[in-house]
Amino acid sequence: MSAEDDYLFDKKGDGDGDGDGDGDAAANVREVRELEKLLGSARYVAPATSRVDRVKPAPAQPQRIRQARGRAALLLAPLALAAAVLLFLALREKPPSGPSLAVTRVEGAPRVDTRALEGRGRLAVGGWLETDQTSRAEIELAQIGRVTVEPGSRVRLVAMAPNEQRLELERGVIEAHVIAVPRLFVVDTPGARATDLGCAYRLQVVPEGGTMLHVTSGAVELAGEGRQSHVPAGAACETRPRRGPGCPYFEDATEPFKTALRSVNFETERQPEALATVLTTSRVRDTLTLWQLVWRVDAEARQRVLARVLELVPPPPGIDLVSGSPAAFKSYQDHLSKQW
Amino acid sequence: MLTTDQRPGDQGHGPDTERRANDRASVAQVLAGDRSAFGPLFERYAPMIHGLLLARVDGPEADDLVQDVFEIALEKLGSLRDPEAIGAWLAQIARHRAIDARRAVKRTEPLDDNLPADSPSPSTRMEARRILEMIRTLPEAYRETLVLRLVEGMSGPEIAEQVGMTPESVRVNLHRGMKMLKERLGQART
Repeated sequence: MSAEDDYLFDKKGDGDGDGDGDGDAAANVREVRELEKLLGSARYVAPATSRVDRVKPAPAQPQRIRQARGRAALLLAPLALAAAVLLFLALREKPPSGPSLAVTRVEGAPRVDTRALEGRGRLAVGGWLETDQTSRAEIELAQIGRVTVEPGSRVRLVAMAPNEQRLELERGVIEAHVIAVPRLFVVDTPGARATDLGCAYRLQVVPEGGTMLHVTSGAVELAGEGRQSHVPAGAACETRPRRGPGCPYFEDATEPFKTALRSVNFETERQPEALATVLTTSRVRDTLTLWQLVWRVDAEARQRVLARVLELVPPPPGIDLVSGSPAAFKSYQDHLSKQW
Repeated sequence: MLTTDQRPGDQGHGPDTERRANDRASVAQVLAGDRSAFGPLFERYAPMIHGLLLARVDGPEADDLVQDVFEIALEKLGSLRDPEAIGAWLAQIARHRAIDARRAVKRTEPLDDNLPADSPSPSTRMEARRILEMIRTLPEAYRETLVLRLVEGMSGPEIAEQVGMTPESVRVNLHRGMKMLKERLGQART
């Protein structure tokens, strides 16, 4: 193997004036180095606010990064030590009693219980985080993600355990970015419970007590008043007080579809007309909505909804829905979900 | 020399043995409910995953997909048969995810958006983008190893260890890949 191959493989034998390479070898190594320099600009840099990044418990850096940063770290070590001591002293003044989550002021003057949040603080179980119309804060979930608390919101940490981190959103808006096993992160609202299935979403509690959920990745389960909706990425779901969650819908559905669905979900009048509009304006992708609607309407309407679902997405060979077997329905649901 | 049936590190190399033990411990901890143990796995393998993705898709999309890959991995970690082979397992998830992404709507963000603020001039960035696109036209095995080496700055032994290849295979892929890249660069200049 040549000096270039050696350098290319293990970054040794640079052939650059070390006496072991001829002119061509040195030129080849230089060419590799130029490519490294040029292409190195596209090297991976972990985003500061990545949903996966937040999973990291500030672990040690990989070896090669440690080496590269070793000199800088040495120079900064006294400063880091001083900062750590100051941080320790600051925290020692008000140690969190029991489980708590880190909270950070993003802007304005959020409050944790009765105290103004300046910089970083802790939200203990039972404690409230409140933002006024000009403030915003971020809650760091323990190793599983983060929640941004938008202006005009009030959030309580209800529970924090190895198998559950639970918040209560009394009012306002949160945006959650979670990377965790399903069902670890839960948010209670006045009208429903949002259970994370590994995702990112925006949840809003409106003044009348209803909620609006928009899922941007993964999926969320929304449950309340005996109803349950599975909301995948790209879909939204509305909840009304004492009615629980309606059927979810994709945000790119037509306006007539969404308006009619709102009537079907929450109103008692003009249901037949609204259902007819939902069915006639539905697309293949809207079988997400129809499939959940099937289980919520009366027997007569169920036949119509099911017929429309089958019209939009015929069952593949081998799935016999006429048999009525749960396995057949499960297989068909799996087939349907590929359209979502 | 390793045979193709051997895994890198089977010779008892210290760092690799340590890495495998660490991986096994991290996976066990995550499966036992300690999600913080996923952090070191992310730290260790994110650049490799990014490189494999960058060998197939543009920079901004590769960044996004790194997140996806680790989300999928966390969700499916229970199905990982050999925790010591998590690098190869993650690499396979990344390859599949890149294929899925390419089937979806193609993004149009320029590579420049992916570069750090202190990166070179626009013309240099354009040149980097052009060469990356050229690398993406090479056979898969060559483009992966070249991107990991030239973009992510990994050495050949590191690539072998993380992706689950033999060091000799990596050496050959680098040699042949670089030769092909140079030929194409030469053709482009003429």
